[in-house]
Amino acid sequence: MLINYLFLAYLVPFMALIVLLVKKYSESTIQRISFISVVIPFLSSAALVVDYFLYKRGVREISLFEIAYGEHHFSFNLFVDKLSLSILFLTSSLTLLVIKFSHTYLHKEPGYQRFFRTVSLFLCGLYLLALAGTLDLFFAGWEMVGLSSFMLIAFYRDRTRPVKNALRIFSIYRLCDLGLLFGAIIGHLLWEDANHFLTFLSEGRNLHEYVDYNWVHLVGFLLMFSAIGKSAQFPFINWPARAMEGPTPSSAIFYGGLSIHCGVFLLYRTYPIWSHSYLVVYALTGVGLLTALLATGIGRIQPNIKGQLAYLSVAHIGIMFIELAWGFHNLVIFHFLTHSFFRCYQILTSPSSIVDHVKVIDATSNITIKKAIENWLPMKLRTTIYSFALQEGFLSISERGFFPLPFVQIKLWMRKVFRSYITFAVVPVIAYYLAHWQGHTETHQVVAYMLGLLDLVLSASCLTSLKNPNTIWNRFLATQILFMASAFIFKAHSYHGVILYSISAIPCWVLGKYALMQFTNVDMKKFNGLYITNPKKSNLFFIAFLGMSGFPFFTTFWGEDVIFAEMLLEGPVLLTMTALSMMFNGLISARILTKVFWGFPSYIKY
Amino acid sequence: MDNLKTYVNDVAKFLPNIRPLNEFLHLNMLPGLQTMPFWQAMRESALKYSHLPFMPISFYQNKLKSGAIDVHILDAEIRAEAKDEKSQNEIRNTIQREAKEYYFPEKTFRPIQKYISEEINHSLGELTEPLLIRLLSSFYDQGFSFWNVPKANEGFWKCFVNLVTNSYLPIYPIDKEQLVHFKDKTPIEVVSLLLPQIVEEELAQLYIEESLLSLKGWSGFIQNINLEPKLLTDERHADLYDYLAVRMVIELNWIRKIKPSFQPVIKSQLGANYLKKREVMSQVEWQAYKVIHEAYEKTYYQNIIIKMAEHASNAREIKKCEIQSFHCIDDRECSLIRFMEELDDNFKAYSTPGHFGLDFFYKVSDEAYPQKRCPAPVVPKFILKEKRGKDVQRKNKIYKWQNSSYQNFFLEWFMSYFDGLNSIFKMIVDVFLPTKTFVPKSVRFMRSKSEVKIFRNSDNETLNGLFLGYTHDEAALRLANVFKSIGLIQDFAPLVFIIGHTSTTTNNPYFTAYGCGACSGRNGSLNAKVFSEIANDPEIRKILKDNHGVQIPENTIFVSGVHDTCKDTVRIFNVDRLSGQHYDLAKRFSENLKISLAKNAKLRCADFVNVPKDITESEAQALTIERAHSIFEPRPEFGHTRNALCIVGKRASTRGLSFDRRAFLQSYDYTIDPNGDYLLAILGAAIPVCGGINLDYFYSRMNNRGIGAGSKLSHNVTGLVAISNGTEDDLLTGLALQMVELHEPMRIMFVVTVTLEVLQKVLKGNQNLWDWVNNEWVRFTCIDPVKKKTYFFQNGQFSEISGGKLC
Repeated sequence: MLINYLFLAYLVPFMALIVLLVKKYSESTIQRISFISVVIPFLSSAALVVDYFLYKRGVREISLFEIAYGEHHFSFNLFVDKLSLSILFLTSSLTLLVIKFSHTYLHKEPGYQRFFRTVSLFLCGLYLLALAGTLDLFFAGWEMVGLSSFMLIAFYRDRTRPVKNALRIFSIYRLCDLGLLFGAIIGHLLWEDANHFLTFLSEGRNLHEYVDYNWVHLVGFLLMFSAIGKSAQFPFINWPARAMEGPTPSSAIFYGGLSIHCGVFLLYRTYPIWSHSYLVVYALTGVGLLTALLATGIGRIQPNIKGQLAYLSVAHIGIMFIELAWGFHNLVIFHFLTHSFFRCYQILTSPSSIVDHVKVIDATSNITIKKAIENWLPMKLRTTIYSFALQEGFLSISERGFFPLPFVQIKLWMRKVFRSYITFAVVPVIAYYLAHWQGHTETHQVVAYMLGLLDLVLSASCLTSLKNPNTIWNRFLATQILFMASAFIFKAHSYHGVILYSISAIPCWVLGKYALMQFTNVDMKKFNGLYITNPKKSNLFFIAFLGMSGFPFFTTFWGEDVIFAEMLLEGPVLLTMTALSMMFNGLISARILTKVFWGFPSYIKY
Repeated sequence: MDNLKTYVNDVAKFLPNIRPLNEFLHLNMLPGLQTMPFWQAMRESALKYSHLPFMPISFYQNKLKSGAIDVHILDAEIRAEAKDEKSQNEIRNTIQREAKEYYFPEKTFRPIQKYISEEINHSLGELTEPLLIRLLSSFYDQGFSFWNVPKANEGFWKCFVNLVTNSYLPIYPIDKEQLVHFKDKTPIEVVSLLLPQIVEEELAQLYIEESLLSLKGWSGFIQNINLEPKLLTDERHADLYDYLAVRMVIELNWIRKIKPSFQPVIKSQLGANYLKKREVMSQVEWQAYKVIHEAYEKTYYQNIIIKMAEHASNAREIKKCEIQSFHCIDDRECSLIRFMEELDDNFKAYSTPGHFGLDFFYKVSDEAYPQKRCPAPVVPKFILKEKRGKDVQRKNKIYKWQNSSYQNFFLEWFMSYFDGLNSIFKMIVDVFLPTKTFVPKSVRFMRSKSEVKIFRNSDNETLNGLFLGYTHDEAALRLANVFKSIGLIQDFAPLVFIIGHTSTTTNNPYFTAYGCGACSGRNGSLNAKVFSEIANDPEIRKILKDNHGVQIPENTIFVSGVHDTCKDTVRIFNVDRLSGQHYDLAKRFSENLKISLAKNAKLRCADFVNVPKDITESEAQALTIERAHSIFEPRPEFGHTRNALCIVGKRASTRGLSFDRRAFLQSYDYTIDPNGDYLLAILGAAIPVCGGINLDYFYSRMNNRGIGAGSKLSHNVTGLVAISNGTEDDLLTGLALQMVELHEPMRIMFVVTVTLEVLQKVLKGNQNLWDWVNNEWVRFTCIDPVKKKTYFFQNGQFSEISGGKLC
């Protein structure tokens, strides 16, 4: 169909990204490039929407190409339904407005090109997410959105707090990505043709006929876990307030408008799977309701504008979860369309809230005797509610009061444990028993288990170690080798995944080593801000970070996918261990990147 | 406990001067240091704040290259600073050394916090400050949150104690049982009880200094609100002891939670590493920077003095003219005045502070909050209220509804679906069509929308404990003071314009910084209108003639107007009452204004980088208006950027000279002021106001990240009264980068045309003013018209300068 050629317009942000990577441009050139990269998709989206309504097109899939690799095959196809078109239209119109806003707002700001480049990356990810035809492609888009979010929170790399918060939020994203990763893998299991969304729709209804119900529950909960992290639902409701460290336009697009709704998009797309599971439906309703009440309660006492908007935004998404759980698809689409524009506009005009206040007090002096229902409660109850909301429902990791998992204490305990060599002696023993418990008694399988567990333990130690970054990076190589060895030994003829993985992993590691070589005295307890005096090394390490953390442009991402899909049926425990250590990969490299290269450079004398 | 008070007072001097944003004023950020000489104060504050009060060396090197620093002056300064050849050469080498491309001048150095952090293996600041900041911002919140913290009106300490003890849930990590013991004690008692548990007596002062300065924005804010509780519409009571008490409770609890065996810190533990006398710069470097900075300032001063001396011979005084206008002393008006004077020889402009001598509170309606419309240190005894106000009452209703709506959870949920649709259109319009549909005319005659009751008949007419209006005598006295101080007591033109000023910006939390400082940051049009109405009253004119010697002819009419400095438009009020000759004069004035405003807009556009150089004047005018209405423009106008001079004297001495918008102008005639009474009134206002503006820009430019507010992009409005970066950080003081990036950081120089004896008598007679001058926070030049000599104040005295050379 001719109309399908309009989808080529969504490659424009990708081209803009490449162009903006090549060299430094003047502000007016950057403005032109970024404006073109948002106008063309907007026109295309508008045309597609009109076409959708005019010709009453339903759902369709457009196959692009398929790659067969070993036993595995990747299919790249687009899935277009009303959700896709809504996301496309929302994204393109919102980014058109905010980009135009940012042209003047960011004038003379150091990092002008970096801002627009990162937004282009975000757009690539979001368009991919909107149009993805399989869960793998969706996951690729998801990762890109998460990464651009991380980069924009830490836009001001020379201040400590943005960098610290960016690292924290990236950790939450990584943790919840596990859910989506496993969901994608299990999807390969449930459907032979690589979990196309089209298949979900058609086969989804009959899912319970040929798949064990427990799998459905499991997949549902995994996907829900992933959506919860990205959309800041209970128990992760605190991070949007911490993420408001970037420039106002980026906060507006991401946490007002687009990135924060990605959880809703995921759940909508995978609705045919989890809607069968009454457990997941109730859990979603519970989570959504709890979030809406909790976030509203916390948002009502926030004394600053961006924090308040962040919490109220989260509350609305909780309501969207409830709507989605009970199948009100059109309502969800209407809700997130209007909510995005509303919140985005509020955040963009947040500096003018003082003017509005002044106008109000000029008109009337009884401004603060607001008739809030809480003021009618008895004093002790009122104080309790306030205290609960002030401490953000005890859900904030930073205050060590995070129930039920005190992360900081775990980290300290881990440091103690990994310092002793007894740990490394215990590992083979545990692995042996795990392997036998799973029924993998052959030598090569037991060895694979040992390597896998060692990989996990080493990764965890890299994550918490306070040694200098070169040591950590060397240990990191060991974990990569262990991972590949474990996968290869477990199923010898599955070398395809390992090769694909190593094509990117080894060169990226070498690049990172080159970048880190001279920094042997760096204190990993604080953020060192070395990017100022070593910009080239910092950029090289950033590329290494992308490669090692599984950014979709590198084959590490696809290699992981192949490895896990091939190991799934036979070794779920091994799979869990290695997947956890894969998640740590991203965290380890992000930790080194932020602690070594970003942060306030206190070593510089005037 | 007395020691405690001394310690706190010692540090309180260094706390920045930060006010709620709706009452923003440009003030010296470090007022407590004014009793010290300027460079000594800079050096001490550099140690406390760990920032450097200098630009990077590359800045000065570029100025040297471009000639903005005179080599001879630099040489003279070096010789004055260092006596022997060797140190002079060291200074020269430091100045010429290779400059780095990056400049990060601020570091924090807190030995006790660092030591404790290492003991407990966590950053102590990171543990205590998030909770403390949240408590402070919730306490001071003026209306962002939907409901206030309980017991907010009882003081910060009591509020905190209530939150911890009177609730079913704990505040982690505070031990409720322990805090109950302190429940009834005053904060200062609590501090003196807890202090020995954290540090020993010898370190108490250092600890208090660290505690107060690590959240310097909040400490400064608390101190200021404590001094002036009326700054907040919803009053809050807290002082530095409340803050210290709460902070110490939180810190102790964290320390005990992590390391129960913690012992108070003793000095010997801190050791050499922590306590070594850290100098921010070495002695030689300090001298080098100081020398070159002084040379930079003095080069400019010298140029101005020479320029004015040369012009003095060409100065011609215009006696009779057909149009006169009064403007505010603001430096943004000086270019407009110059353009007007170029176009019309029969026009004379006078400059006087924008409140035009009138001090009053203003109330829109009975229930509105009174707004101050006079300079900040003045506390008026009068209040003016709107007479009629249908428009006003209608607006009232709208604001009240907006304020109280959406209290119902379900209504808000329902309405939120539709708010989104509305905001789509708002966003499209705001981003693509900022000026909506038309570009307004630059000069417009209009009927003013407000009408206040100015005069009262008896002392019984009061409102809120203030007199509701002036008596004729009081009003006439104020007018007489203004006329006499500017030297206009006769030869009034038939038409006299009183032009106040204001500034329209969008999406800008610093909007009061651009407004008329003399009217407390508000719109100056009201004062202009009240002044012109009073001056048109025949009874007032009679009193002025009989009691004060000010002769206003019957033919003279006063008309008010307002100049919007951001859009560069002028509105003139109630011209339709004029007829005949007056109307023609008004027409002529408005034609000239139109041309001048367009020229002014073009002059200002030279600062806006992304504007082509060959822009026409009308395009420039459209551009400035568009910038004022754009939500995405962080630099709508540059305010007092590059301010460097305050010229007090007759306009004849400066008429025709271009100061590149850097001069505050104040009309003054020494011949009618033999005792210096009016000079005292003028300088008593001008030195703090202009000096404050200058120093605010000076600090924010020198150290924008440390004592200024950083870039506007990551700003987050907190509590409706202040700004912080993101949701977990300290308050930001000073001005944003986008406001000061073009500023030339030099101290302001007052150039006063008066005899030296009178000036010295006036300055020395007032200790506050003398501090400013003697400690060189502002520089002074006296042009003595009788002796025909020029004097420059340095090294504690006025010394004569010949030929305009400062060295």
